[in-house]
Amino acid sequence: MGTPLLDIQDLHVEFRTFDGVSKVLAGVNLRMERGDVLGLVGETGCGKSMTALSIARLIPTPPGRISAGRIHFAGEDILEKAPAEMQPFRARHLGMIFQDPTTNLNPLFTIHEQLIDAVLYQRHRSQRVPGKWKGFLPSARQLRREAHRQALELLKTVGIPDGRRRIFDYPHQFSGGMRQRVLIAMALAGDPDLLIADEPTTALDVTIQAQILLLITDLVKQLGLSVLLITHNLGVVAKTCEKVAVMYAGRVIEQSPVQELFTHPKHPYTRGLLSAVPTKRTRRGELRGIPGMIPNLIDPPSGCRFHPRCPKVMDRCSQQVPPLVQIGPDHSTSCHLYSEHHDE
Amino acid sequence: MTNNDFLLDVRHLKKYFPQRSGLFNQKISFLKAVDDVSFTVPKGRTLGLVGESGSGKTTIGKCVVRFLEVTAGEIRFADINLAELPRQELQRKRSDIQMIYQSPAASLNGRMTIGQIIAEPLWIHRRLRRERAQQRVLELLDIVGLKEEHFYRYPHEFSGGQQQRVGIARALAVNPQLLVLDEPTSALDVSVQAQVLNLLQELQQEFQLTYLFISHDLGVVRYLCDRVALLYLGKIVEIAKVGIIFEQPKHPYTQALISAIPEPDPEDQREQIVLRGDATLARPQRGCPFAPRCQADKLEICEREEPPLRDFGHGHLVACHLYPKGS
Amino acid sequence: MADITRSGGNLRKGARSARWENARRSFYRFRTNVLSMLGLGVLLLLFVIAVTAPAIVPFPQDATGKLHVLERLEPPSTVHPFGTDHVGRDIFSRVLMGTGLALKVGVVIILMAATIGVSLGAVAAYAGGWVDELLMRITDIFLTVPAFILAIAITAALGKGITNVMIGISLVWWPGFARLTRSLVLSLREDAFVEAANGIGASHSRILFRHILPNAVSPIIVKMSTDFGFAVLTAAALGFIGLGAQPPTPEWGAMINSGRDYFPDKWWVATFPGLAIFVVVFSWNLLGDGLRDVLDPRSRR
Repeated sequence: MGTPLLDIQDLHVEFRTFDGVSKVLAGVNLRMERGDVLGLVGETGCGKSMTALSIARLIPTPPGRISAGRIHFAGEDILEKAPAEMQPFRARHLGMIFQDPTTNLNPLFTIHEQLIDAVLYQRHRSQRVPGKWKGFLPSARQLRREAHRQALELLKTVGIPDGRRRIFDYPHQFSGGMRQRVLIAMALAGDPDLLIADEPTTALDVTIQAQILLLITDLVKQLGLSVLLITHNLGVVAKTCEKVAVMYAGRVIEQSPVQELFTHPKHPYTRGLLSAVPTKRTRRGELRGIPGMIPNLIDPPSGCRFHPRCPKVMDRCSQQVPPLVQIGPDHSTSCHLYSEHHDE
Repeated sequence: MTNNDFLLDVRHLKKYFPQRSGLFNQKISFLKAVDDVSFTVPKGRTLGLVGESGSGKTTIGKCVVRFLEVTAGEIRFADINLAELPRQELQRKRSDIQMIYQSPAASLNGRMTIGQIIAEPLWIHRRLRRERAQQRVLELLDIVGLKEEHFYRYPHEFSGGQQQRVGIARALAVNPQLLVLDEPTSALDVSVQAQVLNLLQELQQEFQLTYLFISHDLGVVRYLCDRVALLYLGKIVEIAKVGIIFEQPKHPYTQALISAIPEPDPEDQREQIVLRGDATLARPQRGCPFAPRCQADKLEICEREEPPLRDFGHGHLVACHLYPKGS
Repeated sequence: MADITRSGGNLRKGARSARWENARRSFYRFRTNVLSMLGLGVLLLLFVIAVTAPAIVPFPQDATGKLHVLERLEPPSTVHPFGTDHVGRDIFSRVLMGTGLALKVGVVIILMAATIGVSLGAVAAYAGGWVDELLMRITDIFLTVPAFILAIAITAALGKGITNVMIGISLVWWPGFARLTRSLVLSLREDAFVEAANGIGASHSRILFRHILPNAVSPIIVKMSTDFGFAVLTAAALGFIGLGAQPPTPEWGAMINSGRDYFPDKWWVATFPGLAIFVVVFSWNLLGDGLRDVLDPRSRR
């Protein structure tokens, strides 16, 4: 087995806002092994994006703050690192892609420029990137030529045809799906261990989404990449991921292999979520939402944050935070219904 | 079926956007957003318009509500052609056709209270004042599942799902017959989406509403619609009852689209039809618009001629050369 | 169904508390900005001075015509904190008595300019087409002539006096508001809630006045408050060259002008009125900045 690739324990993150302190993450536990494709699922405000940003230490620290918990990546303690150390660390180990491919590319620069930037910073981090004037020196030109070659290779890896010609285009000349591929290429420039994809296909058409998900699956096989796929779409998870973690209001409330989550969901929220998605088999009138609203994180419900909306709520639920319970070999959930001391 | 059974009868709708190019902006080409689309919606039923970006589905919705002027074609609503109505009469007719918008927050005036927002159509069309209006607004709040005390609150104080309910209440205020829903749940969370979908279903039954449901989310369309029309680059490529579309799709695009739906079922072993490229960048000059991306065994005629919509019986129409004969 | 008459009372309370809550939040944000509070404080002080000046100044008659030629050009002292001018009048009294005039001038100019400018800009943007072209070309005409020259020309044509100064400057000031309003309305016109208003059958005027303009109001108010100070400054400039209020009215611009010949030996005659103008312009600027931070409805969070 060895050390897990990612090990998050009891992570707490707070944000200072006008109305008070928002407890955005309240004890997140997450584990990933090398080669995993883990889906992180949840609705708005559940903290999935925040978790991803925490791993990369990209949370803006004036209003935000990691108040407790541990994050270990390939054995290293992320939270102990100084900000200056995080930059090369991110470059070497992490690749991130976000939801909207349009706003994540600079419209004023060609794809070539942006890719070379990524390659130079992430792969050649040991050498200082040549500045504007030093860029004319032969050593710098050599570096850029090498980076160009690597950029073309990346474009091929992500399936962009005719890369040699298209690399000099501007972002607006690419379609949404192609732009997302470019962003994936940029994320892979440093040969990362973990690709964090935050809603990578939400802004794309369904058929394009299928292409991108297929690409991600191919990359996993081809490069031995591990992927943390953040999404609110359970279908995407079913299609692409091997393991799933479900989050609600700042906590991971269930984690299991993907098959089991859909066939044997344990947590009432997971069940509610599954019955809220229309599938092939849902008949008219059968769709059930979850009553109530996502809680206010400044003044969240006590104990289990889901208890005000839970159909199986008990007294204990409002008093104690439910502990993590192992249901099966890889299946765990945070719910009083399954804790050992639960009286039948 | 006689015309009386159809509340909405769209005939040969075309919407072209002129594009100017050239040094002095003199060269005009046309973006054919909607290119000869015809469909009908029976009273009390739901027709889904499905497509991806560039399909023209949103444009059709805007034409039906006349936010855009049609380039050609008729929009017959209860035997009146909406496309030709002068503005005065159109304004009055607006109480019969209402739209529900994709972004609930953006569709509400942030400076008005919920009560004012919902009461506005009452004032415009019925001249209701004060108590009578307030009464009706409270009634509507109840119908959509909101509380009385929300009356004096502002939109930004509500969640997306609640805001969408406000939009629905506003639309229902003067008893419309037809609702055009433009991706009404795309911006909402899954659990909230389910609530709103259920609400829409209840309302349809209770008030005999007719829905034109525009969406790219096939799962939702499958749940809510009676009949579905698939659009590609401004044309209908297939239209049929919802069961047929999902179980026995004929058009290669429909098949690809359905195979691409991420089904929340890991056991799902459908054959993946993965289309290459992108719709808008691959519009051909001649022949079937889908031909460049079509994965089926294309015929020679596919590159030459555009396939017309052919009838396969029971209202199942397909525009594809692979099906040369109708029923 | 709930008894509507009974819940009417609760609804009313709900309304009051909702609006109160919004007002409290806005004020809180404003309060946190030190400079804005400073600006507001100074302005309130000025307002109080304007209202109470005749009662509190040591020599109110100096502002209404009394001359003491024997005491001319005396430097600042305990009796005359700002010294006396070339005809012996107490400058301190005159500066304070002139506050009301300065504030009034600013308010009138800005209100007039905003009324004209906002109306024209809104109509141009909403109507579009040739109306827009026509109105914008008219605006351009006003903008091509250097503002100050135009103000002088108009005022001179109308004749001296503070009222004509206000008219003249307003006619020069409105294009700025027209441009701002036009761009605001142009962008708001495409917003979803405007489309929705059209969808429920609202008339053009309803859409413009009930939907678009209320959402455009914040930047306009900010511009109004920042421009206020500069309007006062411009009016003082016209007073400086002799147009505007006539003696013995204690108009600050005219007062600076009368001190011009004695500068820099008898510096106090010109300096204190100038400082007064500075205080007004600066505090309105601060206020405007603070208002800008506060008045954006969408930045609630």
